[in-house]
Amino acid sequence: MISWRRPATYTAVVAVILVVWVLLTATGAVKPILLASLPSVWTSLTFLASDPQSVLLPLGVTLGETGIAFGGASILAIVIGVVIGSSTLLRRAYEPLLTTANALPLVILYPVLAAALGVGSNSKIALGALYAFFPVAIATAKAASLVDRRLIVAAEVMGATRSQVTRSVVLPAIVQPVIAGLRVSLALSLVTIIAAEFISGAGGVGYQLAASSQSLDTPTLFAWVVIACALTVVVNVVFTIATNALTKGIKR
Amino acid sequence: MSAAAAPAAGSPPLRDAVEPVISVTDVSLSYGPVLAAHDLTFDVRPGEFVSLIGPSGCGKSTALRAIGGLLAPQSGAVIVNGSPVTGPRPSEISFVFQDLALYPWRSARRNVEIALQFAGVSSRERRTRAMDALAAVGLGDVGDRFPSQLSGGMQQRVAIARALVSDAKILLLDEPFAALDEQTRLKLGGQLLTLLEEHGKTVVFVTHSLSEAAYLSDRIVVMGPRPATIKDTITVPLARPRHPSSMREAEFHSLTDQLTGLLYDDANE
Repeated sequence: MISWRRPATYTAVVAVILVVWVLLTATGAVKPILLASLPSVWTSLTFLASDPQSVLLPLGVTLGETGIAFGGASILAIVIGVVIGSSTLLRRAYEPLLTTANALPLVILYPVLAAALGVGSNSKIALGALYAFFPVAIATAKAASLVDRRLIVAAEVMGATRSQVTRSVVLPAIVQPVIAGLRVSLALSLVTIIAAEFISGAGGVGYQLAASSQSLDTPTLFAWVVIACALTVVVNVVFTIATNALTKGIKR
Repeated sequence: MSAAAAPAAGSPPLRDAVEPVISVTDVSLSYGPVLAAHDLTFDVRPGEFVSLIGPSGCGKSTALRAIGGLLAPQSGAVIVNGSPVTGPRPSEISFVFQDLALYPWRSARRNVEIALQFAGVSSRERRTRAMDALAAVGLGDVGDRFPSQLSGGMQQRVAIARALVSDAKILLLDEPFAALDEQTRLKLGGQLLTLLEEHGKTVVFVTHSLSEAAYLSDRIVVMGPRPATIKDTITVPLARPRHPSSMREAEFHSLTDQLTGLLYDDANE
């Protein structure tokens, strides 16, 4: 039986938000320029939907940038994390570096990236990748260093080569913590990329938010906020489905 | 210790004439600055079941790790099948660890298969051989379960199946039954004996249980407290095959008395 509690909770949360929204705008407590009324946002949404390209193109830009940034950074971070985590010496040398770099507000590098790579997609991808890299690298290095030594020794005794130990013991053993790191990274890279689009450039969801905000078109702005929320939800659902399939594929 | 004792089923009692498969000569072992074992010398002949027994922490597991190539001796030599051991030899030696080292994300069958996977056996053959090995230890019907879904004794048997599935003729067992109660331990031990005889394996078995050592072994190497030295090597006078009734024989009792004496001496020193 499918549990009804979860969908019911989600529906209730969304309903409460909508009710508060309607109350705030209908009573005139908040000016329409700051918070558009629900019907006006709906009108904007249907207007945008009448020309699907106007929604799909920015979504495609943002998703594409996020996919490249998150995908590339994650693969690199997992490789580097496993290498660092598997060696006590490398871990001592590089783990502090990783955690420190992760604590830096990397967005300070955006002007540099924009100057070097242009205000187009490349600088957004680079910033998103920077944000995606560290949580995965840190989680992977930590998890790889905590893999039960006995499981590795047992594999070596059975004749496993180094790469077999990595593939058959280390990687399956660290899947859960790495997925947790990936989840953080995915959210961070999406947020960073939307923010970078907001700051400069002429494409993506962030640009649409900036454009409608700067032209004081509050209903369209809120329509894009709704679209951005929907994008985040869909991305997270896809991520969860993918990682569940991965976990199932490993545990057999 | 005459060579005539312990007539192993099917083999003539001329064991000294047979080349040992394992020979440990003047071996000293240390973990960092700590000397774990000193001047160990013993050998194991083909098909023999030799137990290393001694107080907890005396270095008997360390000695086993040296035979398995997991620890280089500080001095002396460990020779297996004619050549000095310098690292793991998966085609000749399989290991059952005290903590089993089963992979929690792998089903029982795939835990057994992994030994063959590393040996480069095809996936179809892996599957059949793993199922056969599990059936041999009485787990033919739980191949799809995960270690966490199996009892301690069953996990134990999965680990043994994994060691038996390879072609390695030497089996090193490090207190494999330590976590089990005495009855289960002796029952599993008895089943293990039958299996090992069928597979023609040579066994070195580390235990701190006197009755287990006496019940299972052809010879028992008695070690003193750390740093371990060999106090004596005793040939078990019981006939093969062993039965639980073997434990009621007078020889069994005099043997365990003798072992108790040897180990008890240590306690007073």
